[in-house]
Formats: sequence, C-alpha cells, structure tokens
Amino acid sequence: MEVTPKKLRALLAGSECESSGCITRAVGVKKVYRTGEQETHALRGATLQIHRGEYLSIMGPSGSGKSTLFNMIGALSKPSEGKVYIDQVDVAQLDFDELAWFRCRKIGYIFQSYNLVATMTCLENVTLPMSFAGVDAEEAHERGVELLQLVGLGGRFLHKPSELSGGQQQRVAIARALANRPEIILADEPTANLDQKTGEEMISLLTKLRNELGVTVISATHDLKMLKCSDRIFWIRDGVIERVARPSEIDFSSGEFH
Amino acid sequence: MSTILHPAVSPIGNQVRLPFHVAWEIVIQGIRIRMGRSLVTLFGVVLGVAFLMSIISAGLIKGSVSGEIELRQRVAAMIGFLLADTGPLSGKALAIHNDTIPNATEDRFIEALRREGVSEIVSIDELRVRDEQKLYAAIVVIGGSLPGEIWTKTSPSLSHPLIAFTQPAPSHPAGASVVQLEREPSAEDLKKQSVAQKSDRVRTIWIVTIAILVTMISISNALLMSVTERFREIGTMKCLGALSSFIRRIFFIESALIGFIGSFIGSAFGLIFSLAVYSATFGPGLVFSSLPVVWLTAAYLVCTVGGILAAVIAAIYPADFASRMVPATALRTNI
Repeated sequence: MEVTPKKLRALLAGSECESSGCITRAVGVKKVYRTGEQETHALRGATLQIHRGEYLSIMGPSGSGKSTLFNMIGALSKPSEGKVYIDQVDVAQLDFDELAWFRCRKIGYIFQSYNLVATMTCLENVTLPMSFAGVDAEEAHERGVELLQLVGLGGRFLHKPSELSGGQQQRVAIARALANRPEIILADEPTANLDQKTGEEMISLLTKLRNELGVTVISATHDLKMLKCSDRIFWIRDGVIERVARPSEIDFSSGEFH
Repeated sequence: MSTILHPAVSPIGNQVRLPFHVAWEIVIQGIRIRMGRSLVTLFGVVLGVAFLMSIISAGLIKGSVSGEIELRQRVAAMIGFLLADTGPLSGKALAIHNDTIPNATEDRFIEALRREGVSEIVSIDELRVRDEQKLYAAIVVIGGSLPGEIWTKTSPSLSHPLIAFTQPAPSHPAGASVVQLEREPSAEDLKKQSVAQKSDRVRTIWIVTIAILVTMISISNALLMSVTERFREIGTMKCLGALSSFIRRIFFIESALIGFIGSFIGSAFGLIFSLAVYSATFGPGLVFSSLPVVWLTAAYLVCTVGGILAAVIAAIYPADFASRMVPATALRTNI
C-alpha cells in the first residue's frame, strides 16, 4: 500500500481546513447501524472542529453516540453521511489498507483496558507499531527505550504486561501510542480502570505530552479530573453535539453544564 | 517542538513493509501463551493425519505382507513338487543350471533348498569340469532352456537325471524325467484377485477422503476459536496500523506451523500403529522382512505435506474472518 503525494493531493481536494490550526474537522456526520430491519441512528449530523495541539474531551451518557463519534474522529469507521477530515485527509476516501496506513502514522490510540498484546514485553509492545510502519528494528528498539523512559518506565522494558500494575500498563500504552510520532492521541476512557491517584498521574502525563510535544489529545471520558484539564468539552446527546464548553463554564459539583 | 514527534523526512510515500520475523514472533509467542488451545488444535491434526497415515501405511504393509506370504507359499509348493520326486533332500547334492538371472521366487527357492539340508549346490558348468562319481538328486533349471547335450556329456551319475524346471520348459529332453516346479495361476484366480484389489482401492480412497476432511474441519474449528479469543488483540493491532494481509499472514503461519508439527507426529503415530497391528497379526518377522521402506517414506512425506496443506486450506476462512474484522471492535468495551 502506498500513499503517493499525488493521491494525497487528490484526497485533500474539497477540504476547507487549510489553516494549520485545525487538525480534525467533521461536517454533518451521520451514522446509521442496521441490524436486520431495525435502523439505529447513532449520529444525526455532528459538525465539529478540533484545533491542533488541543486537549479535547468528549462526554455524554451511554448510547449518546459518543463512542461512534470517537470512532469517526479516530479513523476507525466511516460515516454513513457527511465528511470527516483528519489532518486534511478525507477519511471516507481511504480504503481498508490506506486506513491502516493512516492510523499507523497519524493517530495513537489509548484504550480503557490498555489492550497491550499480552504475549509481548513492554518494549515489544511499543516497537510493534513501528515495525508496522517499516522502521528498522534497531531504530525502533532505540526509540522504544526512549519512549518508555519518557513515560517513566525506564527499568521495565522486558516485563510482560501482566507483571505490571494498571497504571504502569497504561503508561506502556501511552508510549506505544506515541511510537510513530502521531499528530493525534485518541484516548478512550483512559482513567476508567485506574484508581484516583494513578488516574491523576495519567492525566498529568497526557497534559505534559500535549504541552511538550504539541500533540492533540482527544479523549472520551466521564472523569471530572480529565474534564477539568481539558481545553474544551463536547457534550453529546442523542447523536448530536449539544454543547461545546470550556471547563470554567461547567459546574463540576453537579456534573452538569450551567 | 521536540524532535521526538516530528521526523526529519515525511513517511508519506513509504511502503508499509510487513517483516516476516515480526509475524513469526507473534505466532510463536501466541502459541506458547495459548498452549492449551494450541495443543487441542495440534491434537486434532495429529489424530487426523495419524488416521490418514495408518490407512495408507496399512495398505502398503498389507500389500507387501500378502506378497511375501504368496511368495513363501509358491516356494513351499515348488519344494513340495521337487520333494515328491526326490524324497528328502537332506545330505544330497543338487546341480543348478542358470539360464537367466534368477527372479525373486527362484532366489527364495534356492535359499529354501539350502534350508532343506542340501549338502552341495553345484552349477552345471562347474560340474562339467569336475569328473567325479557322485549322486546328484536333480538338475534344477532356472529360467527355462537346457542345452540338449548337457547331461550326456557330464558325469555318468547324470545320465538319467531328474530335471526340475522352475519355469515352463520349452522342450522336454529325452531320457530324463522332468518335473515342472511352478504352475500358472488359473484365470479365475486372477480375476478374483483383481476384483478384490479394486474394491479395496475404492474403500481406501473413501476412508482417506474422510480423514482429510475431518482433519481440515478440526483445524478450521480450532483456528476459528482462536479468532474469537483474539478479537481484542486483532483489533488492537489494526488500530496500531496492521494491514489485513499481516493479520491473514499470522493465521496462515500459525496454521502451517501447527500443521507441520502435527502431521509429522501424526504420521509417526499412524505408521507405528499399523506396524504394531500387522506385527501382532502376522508376526514381526514376516512384516519387517518385507517392509516397503521406500513407499512408506514416500507416504510419510505425502502425509506430512498433505497435513500442512490441509491446515493452510483450513485457515483460509478464519484468516479471512479475522482480517475483515473492524478495528473498532477492540474499542467496543463501552458502547
């Protein structure tokens, strides 16, 4: 699979997101799931812009379409209607393997349950996306060590995920997400399985990465601590973005918008 | 901005390379971690291939054993015909005329003569040179023709000899008593034999087909199980940028590896099984004296390669299923 500059330009046609200030843009995104006769409208026309280097949180009750929107922004699925541009590329025009290529290099994923490959050591987990990207083994090894040190796991390269605590596993996952120098880090409830203190450590690590590396962090979360650190919060309900707010506009004692 | 995030050269335009050793390591570690399930799959392959190999090797051993039995019967019959005319051969001398190179039956016949206690077996050519007064029980003619003047010019004891032909004699020399050692099987016998062989072959093909199918289904099933077991892992790898072809490759490598180990062990089991059964039935001496080593080696190779092929074919569906999986499945812990 090859994405030539020519093809990339073709993909860029129609994008109005020329200014480098915008990393992800969605226009009128709808998603319909069909199970037999029944149609479920998970998203009913979401339009949004995410800025480069932003720390963005998406929240909403379960069944609100939060996960669906999250998958769209993360190039994990395609919209039924509307357009999603990530780094000025129209995701809908990429085929299966092009999407894999795109995810490999543009987006780092962090999951609620870490999703480390259980059979591999920490270092192998971090170098895996690099070998998918064709980085040679020696370089990948070097960078893997560097990344694990960056997330504070300097001495645990050769441990298996099962030998680590939840917080440590999530640190490995963060290092893995950074492997191919992505523009975007996509975190799905990254603190949900962690205790209070570890969750806070994870948030400060993500904030630090955002500040130091300029990476865009997008997370789906209910964690108040995470929401408080966000630049903006998208509130989703019934498949539409009901409100966009800054943390200062939210009364965290009630968990609701003002 | 830090250098850790932005490489000097844009990776766009780079081909995604799929290093084989990465896939290989993933497979090996996967098998080691999921040892239990891998063993179940392996066991399925071993059973299927052992079944296949036992059918094939039993056929081969049966063929060679029945050939050996038939040979022994023929030799025994030949000895019987000879003894009817000569009486016990113990301590007597025999002359042999070799017209051609002896065939397997004739070789065994000569061996059998020695076992009967024949004191001396002399070739006619040697006899001609010797000039001795010794009683030779018979002249055994291997091959067919015997020059007419032979017995008259040789030692006087052979002037009215008993001549035993192992094969149909073209002429019966005058002044000699002649015994025909081997008789042609009747047309009816031959017909019965060929019918039995044909129906045997049909049954074998049918059983072999079923063995292959059973093996393939058991491998396919076990691999499919391992796909569902690995939903999350496959989804995660896809999120990290694994191409569908990489996922497919992992399943094919795993399947081929299990197929190779399983069918190698299975072939050994199948061979040992049929050797044991035949040895118990006919005696190890009979079985091992006539072992068709070349054919059994060929069957071993065919079963091993066949097992690998069956495993790879069985992996097509599970591999395709895994490679078509949507990566969001890994994220779908909280819809």
